[in-house]
Amino acid sequence: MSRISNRQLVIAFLACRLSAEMTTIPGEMFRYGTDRFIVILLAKLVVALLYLPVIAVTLKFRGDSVITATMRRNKAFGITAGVIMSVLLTMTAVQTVLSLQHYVTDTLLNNIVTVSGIAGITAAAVYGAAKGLSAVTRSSVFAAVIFGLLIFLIGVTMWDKTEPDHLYFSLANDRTYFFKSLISEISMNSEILIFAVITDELRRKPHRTVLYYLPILLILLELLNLLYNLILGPYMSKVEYPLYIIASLSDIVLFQRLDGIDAIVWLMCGIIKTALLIYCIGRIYAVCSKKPRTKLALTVTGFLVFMLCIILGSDAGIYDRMTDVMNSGIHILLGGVVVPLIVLAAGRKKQSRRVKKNDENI
Amino acid sequence: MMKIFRTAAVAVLAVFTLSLCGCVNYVDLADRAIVQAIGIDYLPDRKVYRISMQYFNQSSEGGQNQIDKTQDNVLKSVGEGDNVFSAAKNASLLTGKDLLLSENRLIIIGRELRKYDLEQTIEFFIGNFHSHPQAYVAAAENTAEELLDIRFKEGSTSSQRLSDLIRNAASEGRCVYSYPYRVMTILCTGTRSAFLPLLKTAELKTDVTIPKEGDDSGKSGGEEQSEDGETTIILDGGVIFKDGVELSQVNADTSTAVFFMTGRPSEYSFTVPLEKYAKPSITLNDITRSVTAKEKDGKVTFDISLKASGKIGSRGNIKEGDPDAVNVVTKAAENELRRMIKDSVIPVAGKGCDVFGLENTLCRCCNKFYTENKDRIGEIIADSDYNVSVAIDIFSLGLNTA
Repeated sequence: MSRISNRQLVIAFLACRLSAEMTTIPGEMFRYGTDRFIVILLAKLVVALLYLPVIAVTLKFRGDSVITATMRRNKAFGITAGVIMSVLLTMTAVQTVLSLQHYVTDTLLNNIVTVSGIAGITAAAVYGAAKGLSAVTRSSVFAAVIFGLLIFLIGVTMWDKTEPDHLYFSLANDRTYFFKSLISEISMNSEILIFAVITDELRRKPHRTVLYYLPILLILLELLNLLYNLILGPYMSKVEYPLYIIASLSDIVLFQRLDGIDAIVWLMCGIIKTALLIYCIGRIYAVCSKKPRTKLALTVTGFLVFMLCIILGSDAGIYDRMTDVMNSGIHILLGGVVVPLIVLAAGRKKQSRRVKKNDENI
Repeated sequence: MMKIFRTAAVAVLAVFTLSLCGCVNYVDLADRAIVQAIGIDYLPDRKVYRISMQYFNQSSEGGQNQIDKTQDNVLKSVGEGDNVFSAAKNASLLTGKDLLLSENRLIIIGRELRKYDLEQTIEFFIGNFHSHPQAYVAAAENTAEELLDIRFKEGSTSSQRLSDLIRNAASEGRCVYSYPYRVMTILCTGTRSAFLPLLKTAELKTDVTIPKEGDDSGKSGGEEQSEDGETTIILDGGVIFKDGVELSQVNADTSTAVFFMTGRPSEYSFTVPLEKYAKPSITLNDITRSVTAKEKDGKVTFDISLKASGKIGSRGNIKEGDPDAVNVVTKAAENELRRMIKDSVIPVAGKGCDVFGLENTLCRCCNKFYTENKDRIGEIIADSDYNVSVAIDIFSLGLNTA
């Protein structure tokens, strides 16, 4: 098993989270005003708290991931936790692929056949997952470079279109929107599920990833929100993909319409995220079955994700319900908090039993 | 061995990837109508939308010259339908070509259509991600089709002149850059206001001197004057919208004031009414604005402050070394600009129309008051007071001509 560095995982997580920002977040959540700046800040503080149980597991079990720790404790317990995590990861992968498919058909290729779009994205993700965690995180560095280039080019070409008067300060004018947006913003952080599964594949202390990742993400998201407010103003509430619109407005001699680069970045990030999610399911299978070869498991998972995308994506009602469930953040709460807390509690019980046994022996 | 295998795999993959473009629907460029300008009208008697499209005549291009002047550089296609989308589809069907909107540079809205929600009309172009985001949106004095029927030989296409007309006016500070997203930005505010530059037809009178035919002796018959009229299109003021529909037409001064209040004009020239110095012209550069609002007992006062550096474009009777000239011209120029802004802002804002972005100012400066009175923002803007101050610095750029 080749281990990866914290830095690699930070960049991969940024690709995952930023792709969710562009393709998964509901359009009505991008609302003009300062509320969203505060929402992003609060959401990151909450997310930092949500990471604590997983970090506690890794610290308590010397770098073990949640699944490895449960398997060491009890096989049945480990398999149960593995199944729960696999279901949550599969649902996140399905949501990611469907959102990405919608993004691609809404923007670049409006006449692409849905099946071929989903098949293409899933196949690329399965291939990435089969190449391993190191390969996926390395390719996310490439996506990060293109993202940086996109932001730089937008900055160069759009600086004269920014309007500082669009900025004003207010605190939670619309409380319903504020809380809805906060929950949605928290629910976007499904990397916590990935983190819970792959901490034992990190070279150094896993909590360092969170220490670097969250502040960088906070700055990036606030910067993007600032860009939307400065350029689009009140119009940002009406658009589904604000960065795509901003990128398409670029009109200088060398760079006219950067929307193509924008679409490529989010397509790459979406595939990286799906690849990581599928890899995690393969990893759970490897830990639970104690078989290092996971290629078949990855292929089966890819096929399952593909089939679920076809079934769930074919009905708008089911898709909307699934999106509502995912936007409630229940998957993060369950996989990122409840399961690790149970593992911690079980570990403590085992420890206290051992202490008691030792006392009796003495 | 592994290296050779990898290289071969990459080569096969590259060939495979490059040939993937053949797997999607392919339309030859010659089979596309490369739309240059779109005019949208509403026909109230038949209750249908009518779209007129100028598209690039590809047969006018070629040979040794880039443009074949003997042929019209654009063709026209017309379609009607129950909404903008179906009208555009019908235009495409009648043309027999696939519409390509990514090169469209101008969207003209006809008079009748402006009685209905502007947002729904522009939404077609905003929602269509392939549509060019920096096309200008303009209003037609009568029908949009009438304007697109007038052809110009200048430029690579006829519509280029119209979009150049707006671009040039905007770079001179005469009207805003009316891109769809900018129109939508103001249209999304509480009063759903908007401003569009107005395009009109006009007769261009030109005096032509024609040599008279000489008599049989070979002597020239002298010259005679004749007047020739040519229909052209001019940009004259604009149209303001409230609640998404047309409110009224406004003059060129208001058009400039909208730009001063919402955009960043790079340059603006105007004549100073100064008898002694025979109306010198001033060119303003480096124009900045600041709009603030304060509220007292439910009454809002907007303070509009403009600052600019200026140069005297035409000296009039100003003599070099005249010590009073700078002060006198500056004062008169400031008064003139103040008058222009005040005369533009007060009547328009008095109607509750917010093309000047005043809601944004209120939101920024009196957020609590704004939140409490969000639903009656039009009334508040109409009842507000407006203070305008102008500071022009002519001295720093020198008194020489611009």
